[in-house]
Amino acid sequence: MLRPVVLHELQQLMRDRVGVVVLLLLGLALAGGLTTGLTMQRKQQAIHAGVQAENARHFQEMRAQLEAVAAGRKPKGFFFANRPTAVRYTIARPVSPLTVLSLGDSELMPASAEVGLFSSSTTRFQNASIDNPQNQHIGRFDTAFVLIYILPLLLLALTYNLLSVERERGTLPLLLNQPAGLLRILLSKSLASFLLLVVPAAVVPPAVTLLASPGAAGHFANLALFVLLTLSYGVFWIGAALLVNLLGLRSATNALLLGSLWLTMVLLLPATLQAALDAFYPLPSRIELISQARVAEVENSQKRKEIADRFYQDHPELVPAGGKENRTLDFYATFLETEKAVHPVHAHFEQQLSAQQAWVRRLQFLSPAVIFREGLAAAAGTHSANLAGFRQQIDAFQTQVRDFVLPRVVQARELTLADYAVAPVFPSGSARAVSLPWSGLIGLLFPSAILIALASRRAASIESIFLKG
Amino acid sequence: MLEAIRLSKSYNGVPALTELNLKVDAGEIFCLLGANGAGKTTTINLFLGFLKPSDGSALVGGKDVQADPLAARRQVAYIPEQVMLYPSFSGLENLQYFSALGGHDYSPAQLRTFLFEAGLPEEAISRRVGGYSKGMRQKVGIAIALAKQARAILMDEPTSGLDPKASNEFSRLLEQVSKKGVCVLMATHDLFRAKEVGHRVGIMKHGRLVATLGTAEISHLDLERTYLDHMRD
Repeated sequence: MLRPVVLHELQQLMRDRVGVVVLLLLGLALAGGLTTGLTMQRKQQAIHAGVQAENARHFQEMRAQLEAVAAGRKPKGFFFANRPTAVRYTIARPVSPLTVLSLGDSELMPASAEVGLFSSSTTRFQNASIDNPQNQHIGRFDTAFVLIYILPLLLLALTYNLLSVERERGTLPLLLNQPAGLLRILLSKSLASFLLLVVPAAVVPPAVTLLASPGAAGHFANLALFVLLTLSYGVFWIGAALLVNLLGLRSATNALLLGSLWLTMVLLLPATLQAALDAFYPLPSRIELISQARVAEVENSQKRKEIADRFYQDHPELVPAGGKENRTLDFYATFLETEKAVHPVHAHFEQQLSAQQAWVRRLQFLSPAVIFREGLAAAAGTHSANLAGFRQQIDAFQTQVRDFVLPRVVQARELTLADYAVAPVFPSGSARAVSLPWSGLIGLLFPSAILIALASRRAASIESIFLKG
Repeated sequence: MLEAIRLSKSYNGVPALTELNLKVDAGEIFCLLGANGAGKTTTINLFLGFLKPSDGSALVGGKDVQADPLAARRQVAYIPEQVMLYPSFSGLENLQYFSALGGHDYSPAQLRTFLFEAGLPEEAISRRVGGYSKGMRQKVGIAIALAKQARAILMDEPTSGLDPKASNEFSRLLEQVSKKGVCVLMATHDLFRAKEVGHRVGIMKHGRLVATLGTAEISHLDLERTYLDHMRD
């Protein structure tokens, strides 16, 4: 690179005020994005703490009831600590300390999950937080939004006329007369814009996160991926601007072409991709799932006796001793029947969702914006894959809880403090680690390399550029 | 220093320059005369490497411009009809930038000397170029050429639009440069200036060099008569 060109371009951008304005806009946008991210992260952390406290309070209350009974005192509140079904949990979804960098799918994830004998993967996440569907559709104005949508626009505002402005100003002949090589000059000019805009955009959010979010420091690889993805995304747009400039067109035409490219890559392609996936793999309505569950629940509750009889025929080992009625087990039989009715819709939903996600993974390479979005969410730990990890943990814990509760229900045993002492405990700490998508860097740098190679070929033909002037 | 060997250029099959054979030695000032479209600018652009010859070759210091464009550009400075600079930078900063691109790292004092030699007034040196007249910009262009320490200077109508005093100063400067062994190839419509500063003049017509004359051997009047004779179809 040519140091004098980089310095000259930086001075030029600042003196012409374009650099100042663009830098100011980036600063404002990042401030807005980071504020949203921090606010949402703190909100999620508050919910997490609240859920954890509620779960702890429940078990504390259960133990206190048993202690009161053992001491011959009247327990506080409705006494049910001795029932096996009192062992139920509300598990808070771990909040990534890097949520401030990208809210990703975190707002689509339920903040907590109920785990007990009467909970299942089908119905567990029905009580997900209700949000404005518009937010879920377009995403919030968070740091990732600023980087995916606004950063390229600002970068193109600096680079759309890298070469054309030299021709329009009349300085091109003097530049071409220098023994520096046109491509090197343009790359150096691009580097100035890159240093002015992309480097701060890549570095400031992680720095703010490290300062404002305790726990972020332990995620060095995630932060490094965030920085590298942002830099690579910047390189892609610089490559595009270089190539368009070397077509030898006027500045206005360059702006139009690059604007169209932004529109296609950042808005149209991702939207078309999502629309195509929705058409090929339509997701069953969430309302349909909930309605079906409720209808099955009502119908099954009306024929509880019949369901219980069938259940005991299928599971003679669970028939209560002495033919005594076990209402909890009857309810469990009804619950399983309801589950069976809802399962096909739920399974279809999961299947369609997996198919959509698999296609997004395959087709993301069509648009750098999609690669970048997916990469940022994964780096921030807010990707849907992180939710999947949490769900797997919950499912495994559900089995543990059922294996603990069900035998006690069958035996109609009353729980004691000793049972609570050996009750399952959900592993604390963060969600299961999801492998970071380093391949996203290749997905961004490969098309960038092609763009720069094409630009290099164009730059070799000075005549075509000179004559267009 | 500059040599054209059967140098030809055509645009979409229309010839702009046909088999130009020309040699300009070190310290020589060669002026190309001719009507608009005669091929003067095309000749200069071919020596600068801005255009690719359809046939033949352009050599600078013995190096083929197409084969080794960067080496050729190192030896050639260019002063266009309108020297356009970065308006938000001063004359000094413009000179510093182009010198640095040419591989020279001059001190501010050295840069001032070049500008002073080119005739730029002291008060204008640190002023933004946006407020310069055409003559002042031409002087910065000359300073850029001087600072490049080029062995050849190519000029395309450099005095067009300059007032007589500025043109005269420009001529004196060219003479000084030529005395230092720099070769100058200048395209111009100004017969008087060509006779005054040039060692030889070439008359171009329809892309061909139709006459070459030594300025010491003919008067202003003879040059004008010869030129007009050639311009008649």
